This record gives sequence, structure tokens and C-alpha cells, in this order.
Amino acid sequence: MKTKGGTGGCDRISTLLPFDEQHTGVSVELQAHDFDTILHENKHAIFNLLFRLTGDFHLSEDLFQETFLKAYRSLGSYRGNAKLSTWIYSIALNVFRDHIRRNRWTHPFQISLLSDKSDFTSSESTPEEQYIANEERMDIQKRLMELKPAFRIPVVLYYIDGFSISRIAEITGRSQSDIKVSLHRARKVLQKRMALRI
Amino acid sequence: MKNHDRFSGDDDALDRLIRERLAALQGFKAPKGAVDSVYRRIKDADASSATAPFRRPHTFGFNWRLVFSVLTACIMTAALTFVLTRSLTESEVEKTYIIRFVYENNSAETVTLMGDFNNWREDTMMYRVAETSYWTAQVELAEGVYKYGFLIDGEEWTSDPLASLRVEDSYGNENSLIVLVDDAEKRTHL
Repeated sequence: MKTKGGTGGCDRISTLLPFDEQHTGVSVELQAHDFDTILHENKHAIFNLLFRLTGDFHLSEDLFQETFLKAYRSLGSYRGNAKLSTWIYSIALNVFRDHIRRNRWTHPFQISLLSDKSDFTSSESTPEEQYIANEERMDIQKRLMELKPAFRIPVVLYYIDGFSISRIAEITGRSQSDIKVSLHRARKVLQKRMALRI
Repeated sequence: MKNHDRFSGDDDALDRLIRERLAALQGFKAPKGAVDSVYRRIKDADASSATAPFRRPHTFGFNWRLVFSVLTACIMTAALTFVLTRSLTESEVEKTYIIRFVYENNSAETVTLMGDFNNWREDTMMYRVAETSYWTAQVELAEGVYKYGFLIDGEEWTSDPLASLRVEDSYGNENSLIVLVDDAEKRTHL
């Protein structure tokens, strides 16, 4: 596996993190290398996933750290049955679901949509274009937040991450027909909320 | 996207429209420092779990919140008990009975109700129910046991023929008894 963060990252974490060789049966160097690779290869995708699911930048940062903390702790139990990215997506979704469960009696999402212009790989050139594009993104994100989590998760994975239904079923642990039904219903809701005309 | 993921008819068109709109939400990058924050979080978590065995066991710790809660509960219970007890006591002290005495006599001109509740004074006159031989008077009495009788035309004494309890006084006169006790246990000891 190639480490995007460079070899320095691997050396750094192998000294920083107490990987347990006896417990996992995998060498410390390999674990450190794997974790650093997973982190660097998936950081943008996972952050975008969490940001789109929560609509809250700071909450996403927190859940992002929680996701990789859990990944780090369960790295030794990863058996390689699923793709690494599938595995890390599953962890992120579990972290998100845990957050919803913990906050079900409070208002879970404040929809503090920040102006998410800073880290976009955008082609908007003028400030006016950037402003319009940002307003549009915020409006779409608001519509997305109006979906209940059971619909929002497949919508984000399908339309934003571009995963197939079978992959989404694998990541979420739901059946394909369940995902299809959720997507169908979510589409109807979004059509109404976004006033889409076919 | 795989072919079997495609939809038919209107659903397919709607699918395309939504895909176009949501494409605007793609490509948001993790903020700078996100990787370092993960490593800090892991270090902090490890540090706290490493020191955890040296922490004072939770069950033996002095839990101020628990103590405060228990104290508050005790104070609230005591206050509630005090208020309830007081209100009960007050209601017992103020417990009174409205009693209507009835006596039948078709030849009497006046009938007076006398008893130890009015110190045997002749000031509680009974009145005749119109066009009947029934005489009646109503008094308010506190809880207790009272002796009484009726004085007919200011000279003839009689006990209440309807009363089930009667006692004789030291002059040989027969008085009726009325028992106004709510508690059945108390009544058995009378």
C-alpha cells in the first residue's frame, strides 16, 4: 500500500502510537504503515461524508477524529474481508449513528452550514461566482438535512460519493432492496423540497 | 454506476436531476491539520486509558453530585411530610359534624334540645316541621361523645326515643348518647 503522506508519516506514528504487536499479531511497522495509509487515502472522502451527513463543520471534525480513533483501535481486527475503504466508511457511519442515538432527545443538528468555500476544488473564478456557488451548496445541503438519517445516508453515498447500490448495502449492512426503497423515497422527498420538474 | 442501479422512466429522469444537483456537494476536503488532530486524539485517548488503572475506583469516590442529590431528596421529603402532617392535623382539629336532631310529639307546645354540648342550657329551641308532629333542630358539633335529651313544654324531660345509646345521670334522669367519632378503632374503645 502506498502512503500518500510520505514515509515520514509512518515513522512518526510508529513512535507516537503504541501499536500492540503481541495483541494483533501484525508487526508494529506494518500496522503503523497501514493506519497512516488509510488515514491519508480516506481523509477527504470521510470528512466530506461526515460533513454532508451532519451539515456541521465542527461536529464533522469531531466525528472524523472519532472515526479514525476507532479505526486505529480496531486495525488489528481487520480481516481483509472487505475493502479497506468499505471498512473505514462503515466505521464512519457507525460513529455518525452513535452520535444520532446519543443526541436523539436534543436537537441533533443545528445545520450550522458554514461557508464551505475554503477547501473546495472549485473552478469558480470570480468572487461573485464563488458566492453564488456557495449559496447554492448551502441550499442543497439544507434540503439534504431535511431527510431523515435512514434516507440521508444512502443518498450521500449514492449521489455524492457515487457508490453502487451493492457497495452501499455492504457499507451500511442493509439489503440492496432496502437501499433501493430508501433511495426511491428520498428522491420523492428531494423532488418536492427542491421543486424539481421532470 | 452499474446498469442494474439505473431506474426506469420518470424515476430515471429524477435520478439524473438529483445527481446533477447533489454534485455540487462533492469534493469538500478535510481541513488542514485534520490528520494531526487524529493523532492527537489517539494519543490523548491512549494517555487517559493508560492512567485509568491508577485512578481512584469510581465506586469508592466521593461523588458530590450524588451526595447533593440525596440531600436534596431528603430535604424535599421532610418538607413534604411536614406540610402533609400539618395539614392533616389541622383538618382533624377542625373536623366538625352537622347533626340534625329529630323528635316526634304531636301534643307538645315547645321542645328544647339540651345536652352537655350546650351546657344543658335551654337556648336551643327545636321547631316544628309544618303540619307534622316532628320537631327538629340542627347543631354543629366537634368530634366527641355527647349526652342530650329533649325538654317538652319547659318541664317534662325525655331522652331521644330514636337513640340507641342511653345513660342515667346522678339524678336518675335518662339521657341519650350521640357518638361522633370517625375512627372505627376509637369507637370500639368507647
